[in-house]
Parts: sequence; C-alpha cells; structure tokens
Amino acid sequence: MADLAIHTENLTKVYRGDLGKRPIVALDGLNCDVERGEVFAFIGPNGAGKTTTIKLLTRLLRPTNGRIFILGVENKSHNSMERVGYLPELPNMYGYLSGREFLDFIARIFKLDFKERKRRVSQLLERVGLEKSSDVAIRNYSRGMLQRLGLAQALINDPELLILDEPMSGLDPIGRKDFRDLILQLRDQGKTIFFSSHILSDAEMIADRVGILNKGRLINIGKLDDLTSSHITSVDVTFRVESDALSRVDTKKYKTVIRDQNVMVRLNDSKEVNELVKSIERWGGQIISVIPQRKSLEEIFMTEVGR
Amino acid sequence: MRVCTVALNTFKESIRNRVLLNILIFAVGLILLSLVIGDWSIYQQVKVIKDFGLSAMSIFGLLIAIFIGIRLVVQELEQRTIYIIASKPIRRWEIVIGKYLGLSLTLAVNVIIMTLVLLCTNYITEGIIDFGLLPAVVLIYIEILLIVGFSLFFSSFAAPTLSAVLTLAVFVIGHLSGFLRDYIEVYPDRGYHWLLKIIYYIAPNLEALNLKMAVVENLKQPPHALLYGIVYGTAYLLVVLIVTAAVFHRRDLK
Amino acid sequence: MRGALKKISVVSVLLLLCFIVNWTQRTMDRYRSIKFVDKRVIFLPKGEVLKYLSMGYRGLMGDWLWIRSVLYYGRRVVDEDNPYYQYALKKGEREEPLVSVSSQVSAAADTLLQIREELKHILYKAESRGLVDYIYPMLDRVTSVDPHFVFPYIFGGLYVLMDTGEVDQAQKLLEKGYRANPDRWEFPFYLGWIHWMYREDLEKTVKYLLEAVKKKECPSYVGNLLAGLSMKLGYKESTLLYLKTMINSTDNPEIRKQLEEVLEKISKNR
Repeated sequence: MADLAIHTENLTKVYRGDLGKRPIVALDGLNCDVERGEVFAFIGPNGAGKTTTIKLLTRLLRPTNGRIFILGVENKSHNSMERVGYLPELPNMYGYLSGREFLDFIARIFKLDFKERKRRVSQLLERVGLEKSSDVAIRNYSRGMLQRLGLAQALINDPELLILDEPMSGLDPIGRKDFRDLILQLRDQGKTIFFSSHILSDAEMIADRVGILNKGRLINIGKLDDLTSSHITSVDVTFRVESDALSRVDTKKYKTVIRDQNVMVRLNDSKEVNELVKSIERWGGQIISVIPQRKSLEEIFMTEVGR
Repeated sequence: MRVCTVALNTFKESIRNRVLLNILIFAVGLILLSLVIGDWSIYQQVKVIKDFGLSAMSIFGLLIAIFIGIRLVVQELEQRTIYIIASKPIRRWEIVIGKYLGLSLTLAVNVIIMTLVLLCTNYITEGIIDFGLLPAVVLIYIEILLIVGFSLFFSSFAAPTLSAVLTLAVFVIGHLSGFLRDYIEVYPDRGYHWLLKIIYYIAPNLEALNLKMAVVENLKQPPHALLYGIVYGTAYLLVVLIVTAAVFHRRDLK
Repeated sequence: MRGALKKISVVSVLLLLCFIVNWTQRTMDRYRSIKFVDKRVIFLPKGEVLKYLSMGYRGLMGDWLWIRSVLYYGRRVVDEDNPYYQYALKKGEREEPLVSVSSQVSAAADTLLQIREELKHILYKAESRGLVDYIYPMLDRVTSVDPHFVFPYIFGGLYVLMDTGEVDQAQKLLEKGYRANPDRWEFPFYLGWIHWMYREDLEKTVKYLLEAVKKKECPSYVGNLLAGLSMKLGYKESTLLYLKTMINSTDNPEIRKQLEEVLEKISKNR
C-alpha cells in the first residue's frame, strides 16, 4: 500500500438533513486508488461529491465511514499532511498580507528555517509568475493571481502528492496552458497529481487515469486510453488516388468525401479498416492517414452520467 | 512553534485592522472626555476620571470581544481562508488557540496604552500617579480575555449574530451573579435553590474580576482579592479554551 | 444653464429644510416647561435594581446619577425666584445684623446658639418646586449604587437640608451613609449637627460628636466643638468619663492621641 499515493476504503460521508429532511449522502462507499507518480483526474458533474472527497482527503472533513490512506499513512493525524500540497477551489487567502508574507507564513507552518523559507518563497513566486506582485496586498489580487498564489502555497513544502480542486478555474487560456505544463513538469519530477475538474478537455490533455464520480458513487475508473478506446466510434481513412483511378473507388460501399485527388472514407466499424486498406492498394491509391475517432471524454461522460 | 506562528500572524492582522484602531481612539477619547465631565461633578473630578477611565477600558474590551473575537473564526470560515491552513500539518487546536493568543497580545498592547492615558489624566487632576489603579486594570484585562474566550467558543459552532447575542448574555449573567447569590441568601429556600446554586457556580462570576469601585474609593478589600481574581479568571478561561479547541477539532469545514 | 439652475434649486431646498429644522427646534424649546422634568425620577428603578443594572459599572452609574442630581439641583436652586438666592445677593449690601427671631434667649446665650437662630431664619422650603421630591430619591439611588461615595450623603444631609429644611430625609440619608461607612468621621459629625441644630437634642449631639472624635482623620475642630459644648451645657463630667473609657478601650495609637488631646482641652477649660 505504500506505493499508493492515495488509497480509500469504503469512504462514506453522510450529512444530517435539515429539520425534517432526510440525511444527505454526499459520498457512498468510495474505493479509489491513486498510484504514485501518476496524474489522476477526478471528474463528475456538479454536486457529485468531488470536493467532498478532496476535503475528506485533506482532513477538512471527517468521514462518516471508511478509511483514507495518504502516502501509505492513515490520515488521522495532522502529520499525514506533511508531504501533501492542497489547492482548494477558488482559493482565498488573508487579504491583509502580501503574497510574499503569506507564503512565508505557510512556510513557517512547515517549520522551514529562515534561509530555506526565503529561498523557496522567492523561487515559487517566480515560478508561478508573481514576483512583480509579491508585495501587493492579497486583497488586491485578481482571480488569476489568487489561483497562482494558491498553487505556490501548495508547492511550498515540495510535496510528493498534490491535491488540486478545480485548478484551472478562473484562468485564461494562457494561464491554463502554463498550468498544464507545470503539472506535467511536476509529474516528471516524480510527484503524484490528483485533481478534480469539470472541464473534460483539460483532463483529457494531461491525465493518465480518470475516475468518474456521480451522485457520490464512483461509476468508472481507468486509464484514459482504455476508457476512450473502448468507445471508438468510427475510423477516418484518407487516401490519394490518381485522377484516372478515381472511378475505381467503390462509392456505393463506402461513404466517401472526395476533393481533388483526396478521398476520405468514414468507416463505422474499426474491423473494416483492413479490408479497406487492401482495396486502396488495389485501386493504386496512397494512404495518407488512418484516424480512429474516439468518443471524446465528454461523450463518454454524458453517457455514463446519464445512466 | 506553530501556535506562535498563528498568534503572530493574528497580531499582525489586528494591527492592520482599522476597526480596532477606531475603537481604541474612541476609548482614549472617552478617558480624555472624563476631564470635562469631571468638572460637572463638584469636587469629585478625580473619582469621575478614574471611574470613566476604568469603565472605558472595560467597555472597549467588551466591544473588541464581540466585534473582533467573533470575527476571528467566523471570517476564516466565511471567506474560506481556513481551507488552506487547516489542511496543513497543524493541529486544529493550534489554529484556534494561536488566533486567541494573537488577539490577547493585541489587547494587552491596547490596555497598556489606555492605562498610560488614564494615569496621565489622573496625574493632571490629582497630581500623583495612582498605582493603586493597576490591580483593577489587571482584572479588567482578565475579564476581557474571558469574554473573548467565550465569543471564540460560541463562534466556533454558531452563526456570528447568535454568537454575539450569546456572548452578551454571558456578560450580563456574569455581572448579575451577585444578584443570584444575594437572592439565595435573602429569601428562604423555595425548593429550587439547588438549581440557582448550580447556575451560580457554573456562570462566570465577573464580579469577582471587578475591582473598579474598590480601587477608585480605596476600599478595604478582602485579602488577596487580586490574586484570587487572577486565579479564578485564568482557570475559567482555560476551561473555555479547552472546550473551544475540542469543538473546533471535531468540526467539519464544509 | 439648465444644469446650474438645477444645482441652485437643490441647494436652496436643502437650506430651507435646515432652517425649518432649526426653527421648529427653537420653538419647541421655548415652550418646554420645567414642570415636566420634575417627576422624572419615578421612571428610574430603585437603587437596588440600578445596582445590578449597571452590570459591574457601579462606580460609573453612581457618577452619572450624581452628575444628573447636581445639574438638576444647580438649575433649580441657582434660580432667580429663589429667595435664598436673593438673600445671598443682598447680603453684600446689608448693614444691620440679622434680627434674632427668638429674642427671649438669654443674653448669656452662646454665639453658637445665636447663629442657630439666624440660620433658621434664612432657611427656605422649596417643596412646592418639586426639588425635594427629586433630589432625595436621586441621592438615595446614587448611594445605593455606590455606597462608599461619600460626598452625596453629605450633600443631601447638609447642603440640601439648608436649602429645603427637610430634616427627616437628611437625617435618614446621613444614617444610611454612616451604616455603610462606619469609619468616616463626617457622618457622626453631621448627624450631631442635625441633632443640635434642628432636633435640639443635646444628648444625642454629644453622643454623635464623641463617636466622631474617635474616627480616623477627624479634624481637631470637632474636638474643640465637643469640648465647648460639653462644658457650656454641663455635660462635662459625663463627657470626660466617656472619653476616659474610650481612651482605655482603643489600641490605635493615633486615635488614642486624638482622644487624649480632646480630654486635655476639656479638662483645661474649667
């Protein structure tokens, strides 16, 4: 189990209902493993329980049932957070401090000594692009600056595991690209990244594994490729023929789109690819590309959640 | 220590807080105003100045307890700044006690400033520096700390308005405990004395921390009134803080 | 031009409103009658209740009530219709001495006795003005809230008494103060004064003065007064006896010294 960054057993969170109302089950028996060194995306619709899960992992909430292991240690003690970095959704920090002062404050919580604090704070401010605003009061920060400062404080202790709740929210496209690059960089350094998002394209771009949560239950989990490859909708084959050979193309059998000498055929079944390739050879054509159209994560998501 | 880190941070916050500064100016103003009002009271100027000064300090502390003491925890929860700090390797009680200590430090500085102003106004009228006022000041400070402790306790589980009302209720009950005790003594047992006695011993006896009258009129006090007051106040305070830490420990930070 | 006109009209409306507010306030003030103020104290709770109501700020509450009493009193007494005020004004111009009311008092009457009669002459009862109904209940509240605040007792027991002649209430107030502050010399002294001046009960006067002399910081003129009185009025022997017993019973060297001084004065004045 020590090689798992996160391990939950039957993690359940039930809230007492308001007067007269039934109790609310925010999370129902979550069993989820996140391996070390991977980027894990936790996706689901609003209210699915993503934030609840993350708050349970970071000791902000107590589980009604079940156990949580962070980096091999059960997270009952505050010490289990020593090697973890957490970025909450839409993070907010003390307005009366400057960015630098705030990072220094967090660094002190980790009991870093004076020299180390100074070094890391400056380094991180530069890395997230906030050196210019480091002495501005946080109350004057924009949303994007807050997000970046939030990431900086999550990295202050050089954590092995990063837990990010909707990390890209509030960022412009450039910011998001920087963020994605940063996450991949961190992954390359050997860190584990666990993040939740409802922006599926982001998840698609960087995640190794994905977990889909709905109404407090984990309905699907697995490698991104596996999830999407099982949902190949069609294959687009593009090839080129000499103009005089065009007539040989069997347009009755295949749906074709022809432009100049380029022919694109959409096959509904990946099994037909081999046959088509042989046909193209016969027609004397040159294959330009064979692209399987996977169901996007979004479409998978819609189907799974709709169930 | 992590508690000190949080405490110093809270101290920094209070220093940069305008509300605190305004209330301090108000209290100092009151003390200076007593120079004028003292004039109206035929020959009693010294008494009025001392009464005013000590009362201003006490009221100041109460205002701080209600406005800032409650805000201490509630603001963190409302503005969601608590998430970042509570997810760090820090115990819950270190967070809440750290904040309390930071506020206590701020209050100590403020009380010292007001005491100096009071001693000055007293010097202006009476011509001497009356160190006899200091025991009352010490107990006023402890009373303030106790009220702040209560406001912190209530705000760790109740909404801000309710916490303010409850803190005020504690203040009222604390000062009326003498009435309760007198009532029990004066009226024959009506069957529910045991209940009144329980309430009397549980409620914080703020009159035990009240030397204002005694100090101004140089009354004979029971021996070690100051010492007993300090012990009572501190012990009660520790009870409140421990319970608060326990409540905060179990609390879900939604 | 439209913009300027608008600004001018807004400003003039504001000025007009301010003037109206001010004018109505002044008009209302003119018609305010002092009479309505008289019965105010009825709405204040009793002293015992105020004691608890002050939530620990008893000194402050006592001061506030005291200041209210003083301001009210000053406003009422230092008032053009008050004959005492008129007398005080005229005193400067007066040439012949005041005529003693009871001229039957023997020619050998002491200066003290003569002054007593003169003082009675200038007493002014201000009951009809409601002064008494307000001031004594107020002082009662002040002293209940802050029982060790000495001056209000003396104010009610002496100054107000001289203005209003309310002997019973003054005496009650002084007795209350004496009970609460048994170590102060002022209370037995002024009680002695009342018994001598108004009650003409010389036995009680001497008794109170004897008690006053025992207290800390009692000024020497009290001892002188006691000496003079007891001698003039034939109480010398019993006074000497009292003093001797007291000297023997007290351990405090200061008090003992005071008492011995008085004893000496009385013994000397044969």
